[in-house]
Amino acid sequence: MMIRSISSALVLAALAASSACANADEVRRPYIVQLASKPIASYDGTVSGYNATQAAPGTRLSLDSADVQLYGGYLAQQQSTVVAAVPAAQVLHNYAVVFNGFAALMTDAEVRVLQARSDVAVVSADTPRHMDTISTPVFLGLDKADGLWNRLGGKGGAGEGVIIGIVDGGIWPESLAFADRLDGNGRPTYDNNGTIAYGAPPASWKGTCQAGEGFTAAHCNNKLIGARFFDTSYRTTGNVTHWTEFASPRDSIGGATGHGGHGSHTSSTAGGNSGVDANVGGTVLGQASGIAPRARIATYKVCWTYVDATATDGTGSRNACFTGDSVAAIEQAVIDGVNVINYSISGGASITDPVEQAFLHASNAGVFVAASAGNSGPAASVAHISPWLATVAASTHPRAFTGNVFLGNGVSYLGASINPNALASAPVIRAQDAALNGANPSNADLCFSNPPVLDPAKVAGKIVICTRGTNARVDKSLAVLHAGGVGMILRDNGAGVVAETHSVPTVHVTVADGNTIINYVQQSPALTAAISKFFYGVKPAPTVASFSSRGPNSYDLNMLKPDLTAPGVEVIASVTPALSAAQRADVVNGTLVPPTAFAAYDGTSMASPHVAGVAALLHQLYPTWTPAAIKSALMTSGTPTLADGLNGDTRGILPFGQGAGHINPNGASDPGLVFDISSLDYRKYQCGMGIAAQCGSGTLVGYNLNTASIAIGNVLGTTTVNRTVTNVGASTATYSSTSAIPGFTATMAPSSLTLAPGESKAFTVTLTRTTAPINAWQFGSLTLNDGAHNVRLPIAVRSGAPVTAPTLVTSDKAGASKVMSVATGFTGRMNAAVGGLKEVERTASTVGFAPLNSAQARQACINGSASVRQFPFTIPANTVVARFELFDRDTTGNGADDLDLIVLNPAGTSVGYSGNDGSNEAVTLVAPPAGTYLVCPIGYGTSSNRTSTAFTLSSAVVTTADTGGSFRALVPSKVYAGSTATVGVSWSALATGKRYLGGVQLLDTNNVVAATTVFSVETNQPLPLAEPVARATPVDNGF
Amino acid sequence: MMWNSSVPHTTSRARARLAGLATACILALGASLPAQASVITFSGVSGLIAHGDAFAEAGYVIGGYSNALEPSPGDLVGLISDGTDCINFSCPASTAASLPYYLALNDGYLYLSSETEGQTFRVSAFDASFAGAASTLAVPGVLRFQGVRADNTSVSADALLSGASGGNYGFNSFILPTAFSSQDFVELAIFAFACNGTGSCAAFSTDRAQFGIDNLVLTDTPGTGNTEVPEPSDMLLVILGLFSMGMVLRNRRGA
Repeated sequence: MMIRSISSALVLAALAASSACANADEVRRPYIVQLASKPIASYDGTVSGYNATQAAPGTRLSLDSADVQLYGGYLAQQQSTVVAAVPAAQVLHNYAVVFNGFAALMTDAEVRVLQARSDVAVVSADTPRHMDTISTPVFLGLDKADGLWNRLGGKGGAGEGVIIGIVDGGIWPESLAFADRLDGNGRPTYDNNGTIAYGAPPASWKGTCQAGEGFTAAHCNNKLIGARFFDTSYRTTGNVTHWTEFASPRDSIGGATGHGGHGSHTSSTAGGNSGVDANVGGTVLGQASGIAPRARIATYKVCWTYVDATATDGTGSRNACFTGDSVAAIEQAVIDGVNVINYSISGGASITDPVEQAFLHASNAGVFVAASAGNSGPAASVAHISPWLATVAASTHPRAFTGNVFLGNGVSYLGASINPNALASAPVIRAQDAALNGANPSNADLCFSNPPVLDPAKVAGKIVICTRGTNARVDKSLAVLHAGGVGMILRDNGAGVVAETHSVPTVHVTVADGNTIINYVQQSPALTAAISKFFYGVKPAPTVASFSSRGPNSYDLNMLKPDLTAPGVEVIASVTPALSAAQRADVVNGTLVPPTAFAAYDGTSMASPHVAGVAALLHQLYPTWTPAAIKSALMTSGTPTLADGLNGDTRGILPFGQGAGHINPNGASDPGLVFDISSLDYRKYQCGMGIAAQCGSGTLVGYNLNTASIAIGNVLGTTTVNRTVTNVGASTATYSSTSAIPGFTATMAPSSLTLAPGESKAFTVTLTRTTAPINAWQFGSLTLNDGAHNVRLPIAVRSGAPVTAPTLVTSDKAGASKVMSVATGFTGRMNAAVGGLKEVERTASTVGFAPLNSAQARQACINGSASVRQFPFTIPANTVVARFELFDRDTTGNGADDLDLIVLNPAGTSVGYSGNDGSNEAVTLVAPPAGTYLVCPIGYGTSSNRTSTAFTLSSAVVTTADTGGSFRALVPSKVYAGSTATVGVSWSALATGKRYLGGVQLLDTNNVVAATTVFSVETNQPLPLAEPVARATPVDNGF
Repeated sequence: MMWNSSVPHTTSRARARLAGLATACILALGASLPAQASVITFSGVSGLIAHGDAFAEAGYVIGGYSNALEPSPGDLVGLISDGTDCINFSCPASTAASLPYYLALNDGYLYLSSETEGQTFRVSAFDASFAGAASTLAVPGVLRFQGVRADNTSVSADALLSGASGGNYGFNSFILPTAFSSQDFVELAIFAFACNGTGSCAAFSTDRAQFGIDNLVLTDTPGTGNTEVPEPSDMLLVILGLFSMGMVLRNRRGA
């Protein structure tokens, strides 16, 4: 049974469902099995004969006790009992600390055996995730005289004794960010003549340095204290590992040939040494420092690069991170003794995802977790929606790398540049005026290097104006160099200027400036120009990046996500160098001392380690604070971002973009109050989200979980929210509140709170709709102030239809009677209409491949093309629900093909798009207006060597005229405003082995649909379907 | 388990004593049943119960009803629950009951009379739980038994339903006080009051007055039967305000 509360009229979601593939096959697929008992980190002593093993609030889980040994033995025994039921299953990982269960390769039949067992809580399919692809400490105020670094002993003390675990793509151990010695100038060095700057790891440390390709125990030191790699799940995929990869904790090779650098980047951002020269492509851009420069680093590599000929980035490879390995890494990090985990990897669309569950128990063990919000913005697609971790959006920082173009006519233009050496005056030529004989002038304008398009006779000694687009930006400067040019003015195409290393001195100017320069050149062909050395400019910041995934949290509209924003644009940090295959071999055999590299990366991946680093500093300052208290301090001290130019609910300045705001480490170090959350509260929250196994201790609706934010998906007139604050200040303080939410009143009761140091008090915030329009989110804040602290909570509230009902109910029963509670916002008669249960139809077809984004997919769906298959569907009046689905198992590739799905209404507007990795896609329309719709499966790509794939479209259009299985809904005689009521739904005598769809509409007093609950009934013993994973979306691929 | 009877009113000392008995009686029940006693277990029926749905068990007719002014035949008033059919709240834990049990929903009430015309009966014990989303209230609701005698007078008895434990409501066993269990009834109505945080409890005005009930122990009074009894459709329950103010059962025919 799965419930999600969404009150939107149009639900675009990949619903839990299962392929209707009639034949169970013998292929073993990766699954993660969660058992019913609690893992060690959260075990509260409820099993007779076994004492509790969970940590007391504010303490770190200790794994040394006899009780842990005893209970660990109990869990091991339980796991072997379960495994014994499927003796042929291939177990890959066993987990006990942050997750009770195991990862295994199993057949369909074995999965069904486990699903039927009462000691098995959840069986979930493992799916590959992606990495969500410095100078920021100054921007964050860390180095101010009264800043957080100085309060912790300066750069030489900030992070001392704290261990940050990085679950990512490994580490490049030669980077000076991870050295444990200092040279004569006090700068990090690996020279054995240097002075040891770090003592032994903290006594609690239990980790190790795992050897492998190009990595030995000697690569760890007193800074990089641990390194492990996890590839058991990855190796079962059958993928061929790409040559740029190392079977070890070593981060893979970067540059244009591979996918490496990400793990080193996040590691050095969170806790890299200070005083390291950031050398980007030969230009030292300054000294880089991690946010917690004295923290110890432990790396846990879970992401692997493998051969994939269909990769569109020219590397011939892709990189993915497998859930089974990630859970094993998180478990090991907690056992080893890390204090903070950074997870810059996608996933986490539901709190039951095994990685999210592992983070719950890591948090209960006292470990703070920061995770990336995702790079699928500005759509509402925020990832890692669990309340027990900090979900981080990405925003800009103010440092701009700029350079000037000085034209001979005295006019100058500012652009993006890291050009290390000034270029003296030289003639300027437009690239299209310098085309080789026979070359296409438009290709010349784009400055392709291979085949060459620029004529050396025309270019030699000149500065060439090239236009951005089609080929990589750095390819254009290479073309200029090859043709004998001395400089490049890169005219932008509207995507925004980028400072990077070019083959010739280059300034990247805006479209407008580029066009003006071209005008000058056309008027006076003898025009000259000079290019300055780069210098540090300042740009307004922070603004939330457009690629940063926005809220609302579609899993739970009553839980605000993301939580925070942090720098994630043009973040410069340590990466891996571009090496040849031969050089790689020399790294492995030890004959090459690996070079190091820095690079600027964009992504929420880069933002998350900033929060991990600040959390490490706060943990050092307040060792007894829980992860929830640290997150609260970071949120309530957050500062507003600047307008980002977007419209509507995607605006970065709104809580859906920036969460509680931009991180403000110094403010977080003295927050005044914190909102703390216990492991019991998390259990209640899970119960409230429909996870029955967690219902032993009560239930909690999302908005009553004690977070430092308030989100309510549907205020039915008035909603009262409970919160509790703890005074973490040094003295007794009296807080009163101010609030502002358009169209709502927010009243705090009691109106003021006086708290002694350490004291906790509860209060309520009552939100009442006044003038806010229906179904429109309103944004504001509540601020508690004692004269010294501003404790600010972001608020996102909406008043919707006058009934709130579960969105989706799933069942595998051929007949059942169910009752569900619905919230009602009016007094009178509530009627119900039902449609279904109707059997899901299957239509077989084929489609070709082309990587289309959602906008291109819409156009292709209208026009038709080889990579799109059009299915017109008539949606009659009185349609209750329509659902269209694709499944991996219904494709030729059976997991290797990536199909997407788009649905257009009669006007050609997209009303549903499902564009996940793989082919498990679903679009559900609730109460769609009548008309002819176009449903288009889209062949996005395939990792096998085919030009098309067969697929089967599963569809059901259910109207009130459809009856089946005696499906009916019963409602009360009368409902009451501000109360709840119970609705009964039953069906009977469905055929087995089939899939059915139905819907229950609850109607207000005017018989308008106020809520719809979709019923997905599968009598075919459904197998768990992998959680949808957003396709990896590189935020800047160099073009 | 707390309990009181409105006719006659029990003293607080009596309540305390009965509270002590409540758990002990669970074991005693089976052995001490009177010779003619029947236990209503709801095991012969299943599914949703709409307003007016009635069924027979052990010689009694049992029906679920809505007390709204204009109920429709399909209105939801109950469910024969197997303990797993609640979607977004927990069905009461069946600790002291047996599966299935009757779940009264949306302020609905249960009406019971003998299948034999004129037969009077006594009621002595039952298992019950509050039902709905778990709250933190110590007393989330009150269950009222209202019995109608052959002379059309009525008496009632109230049971305080216990608060959620571990996030779930669960069944407890109750024994009715002698003052109530010694009465001979022709009809019995059972319904609940839902309480709020200020301690006031109301029936028929929130849809939240919901309860589970099972193992209702009934005994036919010897030598009765074949006299006229009211039809369930003639019944209407009227509430005179809050729980503490009491209520009467009005027989529409007599009004």
